[in-house]
Amino acid sequence: MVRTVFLLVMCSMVWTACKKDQPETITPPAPYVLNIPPLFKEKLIPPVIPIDNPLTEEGVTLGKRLFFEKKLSVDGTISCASCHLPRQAFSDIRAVSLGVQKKEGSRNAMPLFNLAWNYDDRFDWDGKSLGLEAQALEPVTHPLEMQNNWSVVAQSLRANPDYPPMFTAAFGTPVIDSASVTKALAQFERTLISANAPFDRYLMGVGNLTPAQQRGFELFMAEDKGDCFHCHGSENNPLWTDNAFHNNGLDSVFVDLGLGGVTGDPADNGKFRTPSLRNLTRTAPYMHDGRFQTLEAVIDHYSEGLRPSPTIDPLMKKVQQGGVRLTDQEKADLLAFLRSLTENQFGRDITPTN
Amino acid sequence: MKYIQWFRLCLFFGLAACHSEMEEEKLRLEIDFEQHWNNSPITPTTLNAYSFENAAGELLSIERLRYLISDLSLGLKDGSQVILKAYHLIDIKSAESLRLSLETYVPLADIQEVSFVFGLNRLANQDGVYPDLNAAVWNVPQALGGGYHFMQLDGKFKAQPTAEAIAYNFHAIQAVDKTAGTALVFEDTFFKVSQQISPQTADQDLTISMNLAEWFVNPHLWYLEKDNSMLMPNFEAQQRMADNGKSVFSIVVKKN
Ligand code: HEC
Ligand code: HEC
Repeated sequence: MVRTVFLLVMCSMVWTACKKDQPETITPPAPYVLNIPPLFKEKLIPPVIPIDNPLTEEGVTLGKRLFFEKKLSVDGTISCASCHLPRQAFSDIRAVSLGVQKKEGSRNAMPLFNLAWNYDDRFDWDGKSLGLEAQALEPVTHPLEMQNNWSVVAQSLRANPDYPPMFTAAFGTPVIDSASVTKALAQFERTLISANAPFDRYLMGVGNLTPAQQRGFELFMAEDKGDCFHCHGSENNPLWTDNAFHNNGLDSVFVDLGLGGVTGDPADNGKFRTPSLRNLTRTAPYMHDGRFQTLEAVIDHYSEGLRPSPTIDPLMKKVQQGGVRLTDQEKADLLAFLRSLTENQFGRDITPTN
Repeated sequence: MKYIQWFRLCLFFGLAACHSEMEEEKLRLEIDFEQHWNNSPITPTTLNAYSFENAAGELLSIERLRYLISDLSLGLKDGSQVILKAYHLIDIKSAESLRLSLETYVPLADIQEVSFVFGLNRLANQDGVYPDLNAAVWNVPQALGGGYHFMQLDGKFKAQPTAEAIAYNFHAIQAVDKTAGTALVFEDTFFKVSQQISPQTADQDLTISMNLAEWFVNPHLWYLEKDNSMLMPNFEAQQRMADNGKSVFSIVVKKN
């Protein structure tokens, strides 16, 4: 008798234990279908999505919520979106952003779009972060950014009744930690795609270029004129960046070593990752330290402002003459072309609530 | 081109028919790409210093080297060809591009030759059609006929040891003459490289080796001081590059 009761109790214990492991109530997250622009589909290889973090509807929704979550910062004052403003194509209007307690960082906040097409998966100006998940770890604890620590972040998110069910929906478990938070953020970031600028519409045959834009494009593509395409791509690489590291002649002496600080190789000093030329009219100021307020100043830099250094890229071949020496007309044309790569609507419909 | 397609089709059906039998004969080919300057190796650690002297006595550094080969093939004794890889982009800074590991079902005893084309032949050199090459920003502007680069060799040189360093962009493409009226006039600059191999050694590693010094000497002595950049639209420079390229490559069979 005792034996039977014991067995029954054991069985029911095992049963309930098993039940916990088989969460019948949890429906698996729905795959999120990435809306790959036709131009990317035609011209490029598929985006990079890590197998251990596939995109799901629930994951992306959670990631978006976290992107706007001020609780990620130590004093609850800033979110990712404080430095990556949706209306600025997810960049900052300040040369260097302000972290908590208005502490200034040292680099310009990068715009966020087409990140899944960075095939080498090296993020930040100097490529120090491998993968978007790893990248998202950094701002949360950075002393000049959110200055928080992960156990505090996890605690404060758990305290909000909204979050545990959202994590469960996205990842099948209510565990909230640095891994699940950064996975969700990375999923959201991969959905930020920009490919609907006037130049894209021209390429797709549903828009035209002005004569100035056309001339500007030609000069961008000409090796004996602007020669921008070797690094910034072309109509055949509609990302408008090679995502590689170059020294484009900003300085002779480096305050920020860029890639060299990561690799420790002096031959990499002063090299930074080529930024995309999309959405430029919404991402001022420019360069890794936000030194140029206007695109005119950027063009002047390439035209006559190059500074020599041992690591300057050989493609900056006219450094001895200061640069590619464009006429005023050519500068105006190049500017007109660059502006045609901006998509005015991108990011504007992304708010914490929609 | 056509008969190669037919051959591949036949090969496919042939293989399907006697698959299990052929499995024994499966051949793994490792192909390494190696670059040197008159036998001193060029690797990511030897870049950037002015350690190379060309035949014209100029000292140069190499900061970037990428090149494209295509139609990597085995020539068989019956005169037919098996294409191992349609095209391959080598980037000296990417270790994975420097080794190709290929499988083929061709019996060892049938192989007579290994060959490839430097660059792309005219038919293959279509604008924007290879997504991986587009992603690598390897395109040639449409104003020069479009298609793809064959090589990007970039660095700096000093005409004399004490002279100021000047950049060079030794970029090889299909030669294009823009001066002959409105239509572009092209001249082929791709070329085929081939090497006879004997069957007993075919299971060993192959190394495709590039001697960069040869780009600057044979048959045209090259002065970087004269021709250093903006060579893409330079019809005559592209022809000289292609001439010099013909002695650049060798295919070496190494014991593994
Ligand atoms: C205080 C301002 C600030 C905050 C807050 C901030 N960032 Fe950034 N972000 C930057 C700066 C500055 C860079 C460039 C960093 C570098 O190069 O070292 C950057 C770079 C990035 C990049 C790299 C983009 C690329 O193309 O390489 C991503 C992705 C990113 N941030 C995502 C986030 C996410 C997600 C959060 C929230 C967890 C966040 N950022 C919070 C300022 C900020
Ligand atoms: C050798 C590669 C290279 C070439 C060629 C090149 N760029 Fe850049 N470009 C870069 C890099 C790298 C940066 C970022 C540098 C930094 O911040 O330190 C950059 C930055 C820029 C920016 C600022 C973007 C931003 O978001 O901050 C613009 C605009 C730009 N380039 C336009 C051009 C134009 C126009 C040309 C041709 C006249 C050109 N570039 C040629 C590599 C290149």
